[in-house]
Amino acid sequence: MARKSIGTIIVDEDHSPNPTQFSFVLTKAEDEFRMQKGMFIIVPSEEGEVISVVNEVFKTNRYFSSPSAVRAYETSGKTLASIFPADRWEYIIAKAKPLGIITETGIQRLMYPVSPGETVYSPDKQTLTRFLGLQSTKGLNLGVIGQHELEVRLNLTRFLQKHAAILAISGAGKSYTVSVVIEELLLRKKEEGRVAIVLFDVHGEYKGMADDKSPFASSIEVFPAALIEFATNSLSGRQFAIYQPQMSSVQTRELSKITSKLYKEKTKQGITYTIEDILKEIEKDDQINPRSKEALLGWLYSLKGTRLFGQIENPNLENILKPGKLIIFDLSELTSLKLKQMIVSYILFRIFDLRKKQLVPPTTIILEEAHQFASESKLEMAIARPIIETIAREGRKFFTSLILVSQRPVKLSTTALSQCNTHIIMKILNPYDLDYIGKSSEGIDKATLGSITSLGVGEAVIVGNAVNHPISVKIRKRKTTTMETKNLEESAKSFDK
Amino acid sequence: MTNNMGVHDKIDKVIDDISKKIQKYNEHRKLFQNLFKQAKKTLNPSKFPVNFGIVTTDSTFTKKVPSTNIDGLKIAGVDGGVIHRSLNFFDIALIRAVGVLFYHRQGDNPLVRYFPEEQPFPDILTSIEPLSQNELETLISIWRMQKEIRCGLSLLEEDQPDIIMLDGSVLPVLDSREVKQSEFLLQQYLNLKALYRKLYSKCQRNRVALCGVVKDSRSAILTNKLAAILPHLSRLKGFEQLIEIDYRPIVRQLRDTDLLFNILDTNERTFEFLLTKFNDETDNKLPDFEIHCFYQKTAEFDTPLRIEFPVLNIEEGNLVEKISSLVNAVSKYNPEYGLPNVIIEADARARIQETDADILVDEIAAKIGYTSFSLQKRRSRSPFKTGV
Repeated sequence: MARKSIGTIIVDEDHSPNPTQFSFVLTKAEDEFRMQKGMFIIVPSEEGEVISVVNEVFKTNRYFSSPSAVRAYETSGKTLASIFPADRWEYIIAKAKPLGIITETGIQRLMYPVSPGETVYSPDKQTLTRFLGLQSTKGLNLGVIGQHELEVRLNLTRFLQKHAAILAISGAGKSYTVSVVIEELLLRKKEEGRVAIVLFDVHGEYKGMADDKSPFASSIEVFPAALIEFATNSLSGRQFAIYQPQMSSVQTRELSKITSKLYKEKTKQGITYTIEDILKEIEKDDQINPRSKEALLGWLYSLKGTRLFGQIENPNLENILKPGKLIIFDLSELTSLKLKQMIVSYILFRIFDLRKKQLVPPTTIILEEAHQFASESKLEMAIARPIIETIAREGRKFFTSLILVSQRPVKLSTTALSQCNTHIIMKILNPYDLDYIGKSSEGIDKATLGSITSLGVGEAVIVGNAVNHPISVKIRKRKTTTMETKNLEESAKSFDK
Repeated sequence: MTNNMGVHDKIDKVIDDISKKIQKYNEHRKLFQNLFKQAKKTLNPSKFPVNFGIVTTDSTFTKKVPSTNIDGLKIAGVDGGVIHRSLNFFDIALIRAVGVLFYHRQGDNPLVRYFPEEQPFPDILTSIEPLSQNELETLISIWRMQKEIRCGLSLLEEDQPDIIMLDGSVLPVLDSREVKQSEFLLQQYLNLKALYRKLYSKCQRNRVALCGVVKDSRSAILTNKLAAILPHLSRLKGFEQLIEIDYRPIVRQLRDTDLLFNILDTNERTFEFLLTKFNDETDNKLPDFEIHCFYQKTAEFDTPLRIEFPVLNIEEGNLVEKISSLVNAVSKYNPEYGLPNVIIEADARARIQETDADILVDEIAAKIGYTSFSLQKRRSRSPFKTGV
C-alpha cells in the first residue's frame, strides 16, 4: 500500500492538537479509504514524520445533531435523508495518538504538537514495517494487520528469546495460532536459523499436524504419554523430591546419598538402574532412621506406581531434538494431572540440561494449558512450576524459549508470565484475567486493553518485545489441520451408531 | 441597607409595570386575533375600499393551500452568507451564495445539485471608499444580494427548475436614504436592480416561478392596512368591540406574523396582495414588475412565512396557487420549523464561519508585516473577553 493523503488535521470542539492527541477529518470518500480504529497514520513535520495511531473514529452530520429536530422532521412520516441531502453532510473525524517521530536516528518522542491544516497520510508498508519492528521478508508470518494489509513477520529472536505467551478464552483461536507459529518455525530454512520445537499437547489437538497429508509430516514426531519413560539414573535425590514435594529434607538427604552411591557404583561403570534398585538400596541401609526409611520407601513405591521411571530415557531427548523438527508429547490420554506435571517437569529439566551442555539445538517449548503446569498454587499441585520458572528466568541465556499458552492467565505463575516478553492476546472476557494482563503485559495501553474483549475469533493483539507498538493481527490461515472438530450433535450421533 | 431596599422596591415596581403592560397587550392582541379568526371566512378583501391600498385577486381573507405532488419537479433555493471585518485602513467582506436544486424523483430521495458548487470559495471584497458605518453595511448588503442573484441566474443557465425560492425578500430591500447619499452606493444599487430585473425576466422567459421566503418577518404592512380599514368593518359581528377599545396602540405594536400566527391554520395562507412595484425613481422609465405577497403557515408551531413574488407572465394557471402549494410541499415536514428544505440546505452551505474571516485577516496582516491585532480597529480589540 503506497502512501496516500487521507485527511487534514483540524481543531475540534474539545481541544487543539497537542503532543498526546490530535483530530483530523477524513478527506477521502468512504469507499475510497475506510478509516478504522487502530490504523497507523503519518503526519509530516519539520523534525521528521510523526507516526500516530488512530484510537477513535466517529461520524458527524449536522442534520442529525439535534435530536428534537430529527424527531420533529420525521414525524412527517418521511426520513430526514429523503427531505435533505443529509448524506452530503456526513464527515468522518478521527482522533489519533502520536507515537513518535521517525527521524534518521530512530524513533524520537514527540514533544511538540502537529499543526492544524497539515495533511494526514496513510503510511507506506516499508515505513510501517520499520516503525513496528517487523521484518519485510524473513521472520515468522503470523498474519496481517487488516487495516493496512501488512504482513506481520516477527523477528525470531525478538519474539522467542525472551519467551512468549498466547492468552485467550477457550475457542478464541489459541491452538490455531500455536499451529501457525509452529508452521512458521518449521518453514524456516537452514540459513535463516532453525530451532527444535517441543509441544506438550494436553488435548491431543496437534496430532493431525503429523498426518501423512500434512506438508510437515516428515518434520514432526508424536510421542504418546504411554511411551514416555524417565532415565532413573539421571535423577538426583532432589529431583525425586520435586515429584514428591511432601518428602522431608531429611528424607531427601538420605535419598540423595543412595542415588550418589548408585551413580558411583553403576552409572559411572556404564550400568543403568531402576527405581527398584533404589528401593533395594534403601531397604538394606541400616543407617537410615527407621521412620525416615519407612516414609521414603512409601514415597518411592508411590512413584514406582506411575511406571514412568525406567532404565533408559524414552524417547531419547538428545537424539530426537533436531533443528527444524517438532516433537509432540501427547498427554491427552493421561487423566492424572500429577502424571502430566511430572512428565513436563522431567522433559523440561532434561532439555534445559542438554541445552546448557549444548547437546541439543536451541529449543522452543510450547506448553498448552500452561496454567495447569505453572500455576500459583501449592508446590504439590504445581510440580512443573519450578523448572518452568527456571527456564523463564534463565532460558534466554541458553536459547531455550517458552511459549506459554493459557486461557486463565490469572492462574499462571507471576514469575513465568512476567518473563514472557511478548504476549499474543486474543479474546478475553474475564475481568480478573484482563486486569492481570494489563499489569503483566509490557507496553499494553488502556485502549489496547479495552479492545481485547471485542476481538473476533482469529484476531489477536501482539504486545511486547517482538513489536515496537501493540498491533492488531488477523492470524493467517494455517496450512495444516489439527484435531478433527465435531459439534456436540455430530459427536453424539457418531457414538450412537 | 435602606438604599438597597429602595433599589429592590424600584425593581419590583418596574417588573410589576412591565408585567401588567404585557398582560394588557396580550389581552388586546388575543381580542384582535380572535376577531379576525372568527371573521376570516366571511371577509372579502377584494371588496375592501380601494383607497386603503389593498389590491388583491383573492376573494377570501384566508385560503387553504392545495396539496401538490412534487414528484418529477425541480425545486431550487438560493441563500447567501457574509462575514465582515472592519480593519484600520479598509473593510473586508467574505461573501458567498449557494444555489441548491432538489430534483424529486418518485419513490426515491431527491437528486441534489449545487450552484456553483457544494462549498464554493467565498468572494473576498474590499472597500477603501470613505463610507459611514451605515453606508458600509448597505454596501455589504448590496454585495451579498448581487452574489445571490448572480447565483440564481447561473442556476437558470444550467438547469430548468420549476421554482426558485430566495431566502429573504424577492426585492433589493435597502435603506434608500443611505443609497442616495453616495454616488458610489447608488451605482452599486443600480447594478443590483439590473440584476434583479434580469432574474425576473429570465424566470419569465423560462417560465420559472420565483419567490422570496421571509422567515420571522418584522413587517406590519398588512396589520396597518387592516387597522386602517377597521372602522369600516365595525358593522361586522364582533368587530363592534374594537370600537370600544383604543386599538390603535395595539396595532402599532403588532407585526403581521404576530397577528396571523393564531389566525392562520396550518397549510393556510392569507389573501395575496400588491406589496409594491419593483421600479422606483431610479429606474421608473424601465418596464416594471408588480411584487405581490401573502403570509402562509407551513408549520403548526412556527410563525407564518411571508412569501413575496414578482407577478410574471408565465401563462401557467394561478401563480399564487403554484407558489403557495410548492412552498408548502417542501416546508411542511417539521411542525416546529416551517422553512423550505431547499433554503435550509442553501443556508447551511452558504454560511461562512467567523474563523474563516479571522484566518484571512491574519494572512493579510502577516503579508503586510502587521500583527492582526494592530490591523483591527481599536473597538474590536478589547483586552477582555466579552460575554463571560
